[in-house]
Amino acid sequence: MNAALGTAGVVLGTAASVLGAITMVVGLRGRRPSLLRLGRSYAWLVLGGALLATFAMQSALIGHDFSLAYVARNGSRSTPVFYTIASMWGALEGSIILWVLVLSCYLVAVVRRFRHRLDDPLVGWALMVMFVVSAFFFLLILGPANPFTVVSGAVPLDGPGPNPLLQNHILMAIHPPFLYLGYVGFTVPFAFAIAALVTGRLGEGWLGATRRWTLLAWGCLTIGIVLGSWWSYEVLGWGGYWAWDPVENASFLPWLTGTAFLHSVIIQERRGMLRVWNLSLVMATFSLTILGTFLTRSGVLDSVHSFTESPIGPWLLSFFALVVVVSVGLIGWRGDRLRSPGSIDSPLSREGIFLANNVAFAAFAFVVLLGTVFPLVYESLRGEQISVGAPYFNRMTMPVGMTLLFLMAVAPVLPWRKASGELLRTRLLWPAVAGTAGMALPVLFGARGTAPVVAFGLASFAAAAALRQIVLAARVLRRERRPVLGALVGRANGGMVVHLGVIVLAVAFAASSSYTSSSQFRLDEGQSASVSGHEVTYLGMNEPRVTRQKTVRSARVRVDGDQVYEPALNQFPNATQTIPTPSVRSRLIDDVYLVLVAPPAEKGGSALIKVIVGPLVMWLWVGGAIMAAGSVLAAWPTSRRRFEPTPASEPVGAPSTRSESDDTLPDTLPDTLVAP
Amino acid sequence: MSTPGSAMRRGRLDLDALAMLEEQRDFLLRSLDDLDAERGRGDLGEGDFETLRDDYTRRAAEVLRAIEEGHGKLAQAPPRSRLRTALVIVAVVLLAVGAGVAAAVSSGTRRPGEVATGGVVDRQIGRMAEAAKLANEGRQLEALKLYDRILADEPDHVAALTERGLLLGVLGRSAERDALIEEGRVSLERALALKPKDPRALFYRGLVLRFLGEDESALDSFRAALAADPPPDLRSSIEGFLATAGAGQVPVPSP
Repeated sequence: MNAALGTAGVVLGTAASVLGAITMVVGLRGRRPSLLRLGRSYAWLVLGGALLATFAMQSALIGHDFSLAYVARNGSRSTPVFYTIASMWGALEGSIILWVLVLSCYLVAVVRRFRHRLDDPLVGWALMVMFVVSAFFFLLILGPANPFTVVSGAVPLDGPGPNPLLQNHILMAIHPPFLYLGYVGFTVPFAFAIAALVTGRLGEGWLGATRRWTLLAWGCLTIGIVLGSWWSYEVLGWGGYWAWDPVENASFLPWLTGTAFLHSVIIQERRGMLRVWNLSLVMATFSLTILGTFLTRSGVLDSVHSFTESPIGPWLLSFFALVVVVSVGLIGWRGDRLRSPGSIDSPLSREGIFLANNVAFAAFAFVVLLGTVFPLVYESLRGEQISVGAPYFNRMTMPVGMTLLFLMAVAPVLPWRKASGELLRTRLLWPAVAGTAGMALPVLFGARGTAPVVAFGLASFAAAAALRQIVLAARVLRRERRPVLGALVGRANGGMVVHLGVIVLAVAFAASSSYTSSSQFRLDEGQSASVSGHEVTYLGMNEPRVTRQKTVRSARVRVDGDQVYEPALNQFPNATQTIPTPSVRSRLIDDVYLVLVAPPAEKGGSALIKVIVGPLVMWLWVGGAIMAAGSVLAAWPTSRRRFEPTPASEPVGAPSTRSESDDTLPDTLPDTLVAP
Repeated sequence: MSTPGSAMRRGRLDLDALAMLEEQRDFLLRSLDDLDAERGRGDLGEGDFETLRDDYTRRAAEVLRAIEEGHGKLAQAPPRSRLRTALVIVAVVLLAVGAGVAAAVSSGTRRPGEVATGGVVDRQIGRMAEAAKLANEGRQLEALKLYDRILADEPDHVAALTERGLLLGVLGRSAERDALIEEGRVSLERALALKPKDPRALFYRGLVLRFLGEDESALDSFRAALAADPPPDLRSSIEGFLATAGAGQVPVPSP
């Protein structure tokens, strides 16, 4: 029943996507608005198909329908309902259902948002592209990644359940949907970029139409990445949160290009420049989501040979190639219209710094991409499996990260076109003072190491610049007798809040990766040990807690003579390996992270306990939360002011009055309200 | 309200407006063709035809003029600075070579179960899962090699010693080579020396002892495993094996 229902949903979704795409093409070619308006109905049908498939899969998982091969492999009667629901995205086939569900929601949301413009060719082509992408993923479900295949032979009475690591923390249920909201969300700007290229409407219209969609996708991807790091920290028991493994890199790559796009798009809106670059960034971001899915789902990272055995690897790689070829082809075809009408007048200008920021983000993405695919290329050429270690990523990305912090400090205070030395001195004075203090104070308090101290200084410099912008915006609003809280809302001001979140995160990252100390002790009951000024006392073991889901053996450990923490080892049914659950005392200054490495061999014996003290770790999650809040504030609708646009190629020195919204106010207004 | 044409005439090059003008041009030219066809079929009188044609022609001419004007304003390709191009190429090549060299320097042989990038500290969980998967797929020798790798890095890894012990026992039994079974027992004894009350190691040792024909010792080991408070799934397996072992049967477990 579930198999039939799910397959029906997938067939409905596939048919609606294919027919939707064909209808759009026929409508666009024949200029038939009635056909274009039909897109709305097809979008709802696609959503219906995705919902039906999701319902069938959830019904099978929750109802323990082990006749479905997917449930037989990933379900278990002993798994709690919450993790049973989440196991839909715990393995390949189910995760593609989540992908089409999210994509169909975006499709319907786009249709709703542009319901009055459905006969506009720009919207029509964008919908066509979304239908094609949707058809591809539905076809994946129908073909090589079918989650509704039934088991051959006898139906098992129970299954092994999801990977133990995936049923050990609530974050594993939340983090993938956010990642997918981010990944899939980039389909919208990609679709509009393709539509702009096809229709030749390469002005700033498509950017305006997709600005909030891009921010939504970026914000969700940011939340997804931060939650993933948090999960890694809370579950894996190694005391870290970022290991540069391929799955992390796959999510980070589109984030990097997406962030570059969010900045460079402002230059196009302001100066009509970087059109090819912006289109390329949107295409790259979408392509990287497909490439990331290919890398993590095709088995290619285990070995280039397992890629050919993978059911979906060749499909994803072909789709990736198609996306790249179509994107590059269209950009080449429209090359004559994409030339920039002007050039950057001075490197010491807002656009000059934005360009530098984009170069840095591109270099960052290149370094991460190279490190991720290097083992594949090497194995293809030499037949030998290698691994690129974390030191490569740390060494190569650290200077780029520092550069980005510096640019983050300078960009907001610079005007468009050109800055005088006097203006720079005035605007950068206080941020520079803060930056110097940010370096000196940690040194006075005992911080050592060039890299973290420089990072603290640059972070203080950037934080002061961002706060200066917010304060100046608040002053303007107060003068105009408008609510001061508006100084946090809108693209420019919300962007400054995002910057503050990044800065908090960067400081926490620098401190925790530079000053973490770790020791492992074999302690008898009542015995204490000390790490970085924290005393831990092993009090003994709790009685094992046996449930249908797992057997938990936990130790009681007192930290600093205060509260008792309980790091544990979990034994899941059908799993040979015990899974640790660390216990963490989180404070603003530092985290004391406890791992039960080995319980006592006999009752009352000694336990092996690992203690990791990581400074400022909590601020990583706080920084992530600030970034998420900043994204919402940046996308928040504000009252618009309209100004007469000025030619984008206007020479330096000409009176500048242009802007189209509060996000891009003219330079004659206080610089506090200009975009980041 | 500003039309695409008026926006163009104001002196600013608006690419969106230009594209819309081109759409209008296509529409008007196609309408002129339609008009000819309708006239040819006799659906349109001569007077109406001329009125409509003149109107379409006038509008098309207007649109074509605006498009031409727009095309004239399209940015011309600026003269390329050879020095700048060379510098960009050099910078990109330097980045690529530098990153490539750094990646090569930071790379090392990847062992089974390890990830292709990054430095996850605790890789043993993944490697154990991979070994179990290999054994389940019948690739026992590969699984055995992986357990050996795990033990090379962490000689006191109790779970790896335990699984390796059973795997050797099963392999020895199917190949009828007691030396292998004996090696399996040694592995299990090492695990039990590290963790004497590990129920899984005790259970597996019982199985291996049965393979060696030491039935009494095997039953003792099964009983010790039951007494060591095994998790529910393992308990039911032990009880099942204890029952069959008591009945004189030796089922072959899957590692």
